[in-house]
Amino acid sequence: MTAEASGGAIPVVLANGERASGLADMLQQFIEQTMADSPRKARQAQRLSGRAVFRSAEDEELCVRITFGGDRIELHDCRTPAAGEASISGDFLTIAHLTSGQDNPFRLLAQRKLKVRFSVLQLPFLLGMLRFMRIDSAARRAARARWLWATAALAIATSALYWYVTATP
Amino acid sequence: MSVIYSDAWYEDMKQLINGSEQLGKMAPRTRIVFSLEVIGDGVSPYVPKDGALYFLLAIENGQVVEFRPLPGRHDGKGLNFRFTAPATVWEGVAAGQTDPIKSGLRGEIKVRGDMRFLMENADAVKLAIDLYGHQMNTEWPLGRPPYASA
Repeated sequence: MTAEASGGAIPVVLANGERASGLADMLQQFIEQTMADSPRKARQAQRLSGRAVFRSAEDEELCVRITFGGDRIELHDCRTPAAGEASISGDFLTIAHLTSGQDNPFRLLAQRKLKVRFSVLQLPFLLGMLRFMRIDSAARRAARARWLWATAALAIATSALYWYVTATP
Repeated sequence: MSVIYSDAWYEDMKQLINGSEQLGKMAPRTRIVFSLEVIGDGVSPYVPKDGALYFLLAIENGQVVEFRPLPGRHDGKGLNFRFTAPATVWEGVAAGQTDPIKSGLRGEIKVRGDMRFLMENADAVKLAIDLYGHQMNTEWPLGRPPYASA
C-alpha cells in the first residue's frame, strides 16, 4: 500500500521504530510517498538542511522532531521542543488544510489555528520545509504547467519581436 | 440498537454513513477500500485474546457500498488504507469515549496508506469519525467500555 521509494528519494528514518508515535509514523509515510511520487520533491528534500518540531494541538505531550540532513531525514518523538528550536503547532485539520493547500498559512496564523515559533535564521529552512510538505495535487501541477507554457510563449514572442525590430532595416 | 460486531450493526453503520448528506458531498468520488483490524487484547469481552476481527469497508461516490467482516487479514491487494488497533481502543471510539484522532496520533490506532489522500480528505475523515463515535446506538451485551480491567 505504501508507495515505494524511487530514484532520488532519500531514506526517511523513524528513530523509535515500532514504538514511534502515530504522528511520527504518519509523517514518515507522508514524506516517503511525497518523494517517491515526485523527483522534484525529492530534490527539494535533498537541498533542505535543518530541523523543526511538529507539535499536535490535540495532545500537548506529543511532538516529533524532524531533521533534514541532505542525504537522510530523521524523525524523533519528543515531549517538548528544545530552547531555540523552530516549531509548528496545529490540530489535525489545520495541518491537513496546510499541507493540502486548502488554506493559506498566513490566514491560519492570523486565526491562531497554526502556531509557529522560529528565529530569523531558521526562516529559510522553515519555508523550504513547508514548501516541500505541501501536496502537489493534480490541479496544482496543471496550474504550474499552464504557467510554464505561458512563460515560454511570452519569451518566444518577446524574442521574435526583438528579432523583428532589430533585424528590420 | 444493534449488538456490536453483529450483522445488524454493520448494516446500521452503513446506513449511518450513507444517511449523512454532508459526508456524501464531502467524500471523494473515487472508490476507496479500507480494512479495519480489531486486535484482541485480553480486556475487551468481544474479541478473544490472541484473536482478531477484520472488516472491509468500501466507499464509492460518498456512499458505503460494502461493509462486511472478513474471514482473515486482508492481503493488501486493492486496499487503500489499513487501520489497526486493540479492541479496547475501537470499542472506546464506538462508545464515544476515546478520541480517534488522538489515538491515531499516539499510535494506538496504526494507519497505513496514502497519507496525502488522507490529508486532502481530512474533513470527510473527521466527519465520518464523529458520526461513528457520537451517533452510533451500539448495544453492549457483555458490558460497555471502559472495561474494569482496562
